[in-house]
Amino acid sequence: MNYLLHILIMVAIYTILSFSLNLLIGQTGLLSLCHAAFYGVGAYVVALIGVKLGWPFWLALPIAVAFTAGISMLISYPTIRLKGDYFILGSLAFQVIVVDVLRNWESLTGGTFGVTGIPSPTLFGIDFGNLYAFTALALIVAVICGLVVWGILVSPFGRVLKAIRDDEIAAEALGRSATSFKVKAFALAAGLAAVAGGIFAVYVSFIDPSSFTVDETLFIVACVIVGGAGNMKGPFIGAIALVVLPELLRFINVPDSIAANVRQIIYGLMIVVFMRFRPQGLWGNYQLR
Amino acid sequence: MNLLMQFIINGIAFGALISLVALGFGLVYNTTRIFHIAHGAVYASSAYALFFLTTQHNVPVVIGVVISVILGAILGIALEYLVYQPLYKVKASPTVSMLSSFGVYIVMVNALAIAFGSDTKVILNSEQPSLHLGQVSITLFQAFSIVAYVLVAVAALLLLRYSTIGHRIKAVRDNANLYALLGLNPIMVRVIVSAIAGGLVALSACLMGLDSGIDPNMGLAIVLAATVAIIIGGIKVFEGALLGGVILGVIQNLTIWKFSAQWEMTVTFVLLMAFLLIMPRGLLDSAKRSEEV
Repeated sequence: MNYLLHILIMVAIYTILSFSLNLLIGQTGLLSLCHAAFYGVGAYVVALIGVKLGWPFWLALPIAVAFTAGISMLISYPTIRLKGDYFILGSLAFQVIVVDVLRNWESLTGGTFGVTGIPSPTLFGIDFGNLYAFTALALIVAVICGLVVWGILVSPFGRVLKAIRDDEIAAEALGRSATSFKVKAFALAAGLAAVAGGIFAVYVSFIDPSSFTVDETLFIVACVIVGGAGNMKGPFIGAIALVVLPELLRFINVPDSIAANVRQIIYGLMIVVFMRFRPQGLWGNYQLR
Repeated sequence: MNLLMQFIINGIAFGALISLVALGFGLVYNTTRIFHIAHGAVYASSAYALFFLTTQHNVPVVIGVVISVILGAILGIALEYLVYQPLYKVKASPTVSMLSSFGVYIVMVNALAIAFGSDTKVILNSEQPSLHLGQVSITLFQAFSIVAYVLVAVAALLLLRYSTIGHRIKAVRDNANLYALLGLNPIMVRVIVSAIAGGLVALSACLMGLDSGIDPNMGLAIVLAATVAIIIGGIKVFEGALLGGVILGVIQNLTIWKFSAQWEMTVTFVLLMAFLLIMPRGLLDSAKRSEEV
């Protein structure tokens, strides 16, 4: 039963991450390779506020969201004007830099040793350290984030993002500043990723930079691509599929030492196969251009 | 002062290795418009091939390097046929190709990790001989790196400027469709470029592996460094890779001299951002009027 709850929590976290990355890839047409960096920054802010300042989770999370959204401007302002490949490269660079900073700024982040002893949230006497309560919390937060993303997708703001995705020049000709909308979309996506990071931090109560590297970004990208970009169903299906799949590996006797590698091979293969045969993913409505 | 000189020499030697990778990467990017991230997997595979040959089969190092370079070229061609050709046939966009390349990189690197383990392997256990020139010392492999770089640079410059294949590569770079319309086969050029790139990257990997050891993830950092090198030198100009690599190598080592080795990656990428914003065309590629080519 605990195992099942763990899966539910991971699905919740990755659903939030997929929805937020879809906001960039599927809705705005920005292939961003730094999502795990935002996930990580959110996790670290929540963790450090909890451990070093002792403030409650409910205060730490909004701070993390605001901070991560702010940090996203550091990357978006310089790179958002660059075309296609260069933007992707810039986002990858940001991903690498963030992990490097997390690893090297030892006085703040503990370096490769990470942050331990992150306290679980409590509210009105309910201790969310209890697994059942936490699962409920994670699912509720995921649903809220889903509603937020859905709200963005169907709003006029979301429609402008789609217009920018489909034809940036036309959108600008109609009077919408592509740069400003892209920066806002980036900040929203980063903030949502930070929420996922916060949930992750208090769930596992120990975080270190290795959870937020390019590999992790690849996984989130795989969720969006395999599930399908552009709508709500796609990333949701993608997150479920990719979280559940490695668990199925447990039932085939893959030796522990290579299990992680086998998992990565499966994700890599899925990306290659989907890119060749089904670029719109399982259930998406946008084909990557 | 002498410490500075030592770092600069180290930078040039390391930059030489980056340049070799960058030259191949740039060749592939310009002719196929694909961000060939799997280049890093070819890099790692070649290094492991050398490791496999020299440690498990006692092949002499020099022969091992030659075999490894040939294997690198073959691997490059294989990737072109198995991964990029099918995408080319369905007119996939560069983004789709880049993501596929990323996927292939992940698959290959993890396959290497399964086959050889994720720990860092050392190819040569003996102490390397060093030459002492005045106050600075240079190891044997650093010297080889610089020699290889000079030879490759001269060969590349001659090839690209004066040979038929060089002109054809530039033609495909400029306009692949027009090239095909003229009755020539761009696929042949792509295959040749993939082979050259694979060979170059293997050479660089062997030298790096002999100097510092190998691990499955060594390829990504070097490909990212190669990308920065190309952007510094100029993407459209093939020779830019040669210049950019050395500049990057020297700057990285100056970072180590001034700050610490930890910030190497960060400085590299801050440099990348700086160039992307200020001089995206790079150092060697100047803006030309439409009348010029």
